[in-house]
Amino acid sequence: MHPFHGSPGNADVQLDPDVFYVCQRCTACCRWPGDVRIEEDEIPKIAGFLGLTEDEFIGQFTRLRTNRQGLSLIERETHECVMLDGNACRIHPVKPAQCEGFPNRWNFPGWRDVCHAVPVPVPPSAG
Amino acid sequence: MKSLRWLPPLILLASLAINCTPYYGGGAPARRGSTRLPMGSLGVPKGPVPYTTSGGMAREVGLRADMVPKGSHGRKVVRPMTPRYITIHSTQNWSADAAQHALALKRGALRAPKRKDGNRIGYLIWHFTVDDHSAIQHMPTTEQGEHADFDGPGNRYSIGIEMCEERGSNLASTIDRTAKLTAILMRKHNIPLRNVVPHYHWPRKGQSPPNKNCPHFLLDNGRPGPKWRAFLARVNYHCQRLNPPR
Repeated sequence: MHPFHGSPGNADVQLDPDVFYVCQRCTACCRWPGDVRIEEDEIPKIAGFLGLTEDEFIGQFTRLRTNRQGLSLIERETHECVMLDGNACRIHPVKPAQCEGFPNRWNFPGWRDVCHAVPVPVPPSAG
Repeated sequence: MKSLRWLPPLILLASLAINCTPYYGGGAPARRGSTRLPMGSLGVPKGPVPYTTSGGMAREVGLRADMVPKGSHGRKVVRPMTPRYITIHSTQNWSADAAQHALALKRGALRAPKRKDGNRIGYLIWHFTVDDHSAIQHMPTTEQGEHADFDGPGNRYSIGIEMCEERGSNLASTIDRTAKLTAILMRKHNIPLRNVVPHYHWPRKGQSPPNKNCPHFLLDNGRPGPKWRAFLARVNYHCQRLNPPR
């Protein structure tokens, strides 16, 4: 097993350097229970995209992360992300880095059973 | 412009207490004695809850402002904040009361190494210090302090209150004043009781242990337990005192 497998905290980590998984927008990862980490520099972008002040965005859409080291998007009772609107993300153009990095930079045990991402071999010269 | 630096604290005090004058000996008289915590002091009085205003409670606390000047030391960089939590600390300094901590903050004497993922400004600073006869405000509650968890939510979203532990001071009085001040701030900023937390609540990246045993005399075996719940009950009691009688 790759030493970084399943770690959402390693934003700089490429899980498998030989394969890139192309997201098919299946939204399975948006429905997985847990934190959706929001970093401080992402707050102005997302708030602005939603037409809210930063304070309004924090108040309406965020909570403390489980580890209390920052903010997370709220999850609904069904564990869906609060930003999931049908099968689309309300903030797709400015979505958090955590979302953008799935599943290549982090994932969770069993992700392959639910994620529809397509593996594409990375040429040896790339990256 | 120079005189404007006093505007924020004056506005805060005015909002807390109309006709509130600097007051040093409010509430039950502080008895000099042991700093050991008498557990009975955490109890909640029985019987009718006596109503008071925020201003009246501020006078009981002995609240006054002695701000670190904007642009200096811990307030060199002003980072705006909408407070959502109140973080309770204890100084673990056996030789200083609130006034002496205010002086140290104004002189920039409380330094901390500034480093990536650590202290952001090179100084420690928090919003209020409480001792057994007064409470002093050091910075506006709309600015971030540097008292909890470096770059974390404890600093970004919480008001920091330090309780003094000066040798020979009346710790029970300090705790009760802290509970009153907390109730005033909860009312002012619409902060729920569940968001009143000990410093322990906020893990500090790179520190071992990440969760500090603070305020140590309100924790049990280094964690929130019966003493912390009793403190919250006391805060809640003072919150109820701020509800006008029907």
